[in-house]
Amino acid sequence: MSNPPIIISASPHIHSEESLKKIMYDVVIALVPAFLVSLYVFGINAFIVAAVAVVSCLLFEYLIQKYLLKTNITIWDGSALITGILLAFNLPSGLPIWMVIVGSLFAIGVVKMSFGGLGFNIFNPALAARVFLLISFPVQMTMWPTAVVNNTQLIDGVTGATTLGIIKEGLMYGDTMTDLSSKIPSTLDMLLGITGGSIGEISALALLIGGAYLLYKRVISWYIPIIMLATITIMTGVFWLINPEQYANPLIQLLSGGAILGAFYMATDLVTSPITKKGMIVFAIGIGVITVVIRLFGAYPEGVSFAILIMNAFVPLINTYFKPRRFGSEIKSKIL
Amino acid sequence: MMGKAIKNTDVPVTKGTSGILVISEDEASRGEQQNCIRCGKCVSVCPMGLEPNLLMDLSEKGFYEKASSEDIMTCIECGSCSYVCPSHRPLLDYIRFGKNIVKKLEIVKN
Repeated sequence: MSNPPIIISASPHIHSEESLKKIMYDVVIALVPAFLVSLYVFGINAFIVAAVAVVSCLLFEYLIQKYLLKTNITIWDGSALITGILLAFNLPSGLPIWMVIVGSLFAIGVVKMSFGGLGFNIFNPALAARVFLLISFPVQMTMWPTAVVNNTQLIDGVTGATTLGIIKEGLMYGDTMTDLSSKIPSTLDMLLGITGGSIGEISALALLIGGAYLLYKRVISWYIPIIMLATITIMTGVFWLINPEQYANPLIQLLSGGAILGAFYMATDLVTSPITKKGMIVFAIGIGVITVVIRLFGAYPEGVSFAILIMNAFVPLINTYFKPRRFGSEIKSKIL
Repeated sequence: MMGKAIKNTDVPVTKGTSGILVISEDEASRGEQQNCIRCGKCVSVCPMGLEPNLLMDLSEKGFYEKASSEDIMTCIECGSCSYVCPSHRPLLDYIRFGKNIVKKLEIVKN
């Protein structure tokens, strides 16, 4: 009777419970509250856009892996699922279906798979696809269905501007913040999500709950979201203190637009953020500064997606220059 | 968890043996290796402040001089990086491999 072969490997012989799938599905769980709010606010349209984005992302990844790259099929590792959900979260709920599919193809085909698949992409696929759609179809991408909680009006396609859009346009035509305060949603509405915007960004509270879950599960560290939001608060706060009639207060800046969605889910994307703590801090400050500059002085009302993509491009450089402190390196340099 | 695996029971217990661990197949089997997602977990657990993901890549692709300048020889082979890696990458295996070659190259140089 022969014994079964013994496979002997080098240490460490045990492994933590951690796995890629767990991380990815934790992110999916964290996105559920925000999705539920958008279903409540935007109704069936939000579900259709999200379903189309998720299915087409999975399908494109499968087709590319099977027929172009001819590698193992890894569509169930959760990364394409997250790309699909985050892409849908960045789109207005009234977007035509074929645009959602084009966006998914761009996200998976161009931004992710052409660089080599999971772990090799330079830019966040969902954000890059959103910016691609925003530049290609500026009209459809800025038609935000207004929040109507009982969903009856949405069939007629009632659209309105987002909070940041109202502020930007109003200030351009010479209105002051006091004039505009009656037009923008109240702070409580922005916190709960009864406001216009893309599918995922509307409810700050639901996003914060998901973000807290990610922090608790240690999928993300607090450096990027907290420092990014703090940078936005401080910068807009300074401008607001200088001239409260010309600049919106920091609370509006934080709760409106994609600031919280970007901070907790986009900027912290593991693949496209720096590896070291020091690098993360630099990265987060960069995003905050660029966001505020675009919001206050740029042509677009919202700048989080551009800011994150710009800083994504700097990540390899940040990783090269912000190394962790090597044990004993200071003593070594003193001796030499 | 960092001991030598033994193949049969002929290995003697000596004065220096601090313990014998029997690990079940489930615990000991290695997961399927996946792409590095740059989560930075290996960097944050490394007690020597190295970047195991970078060192593994450099050893794998044969950039030994660069690995040497990234302080690959400082690695104490604690195995924390391989233990924590969510993509089940054999980080320490490649770092050991790289260290061996860097050691040989330095001997040749001197």
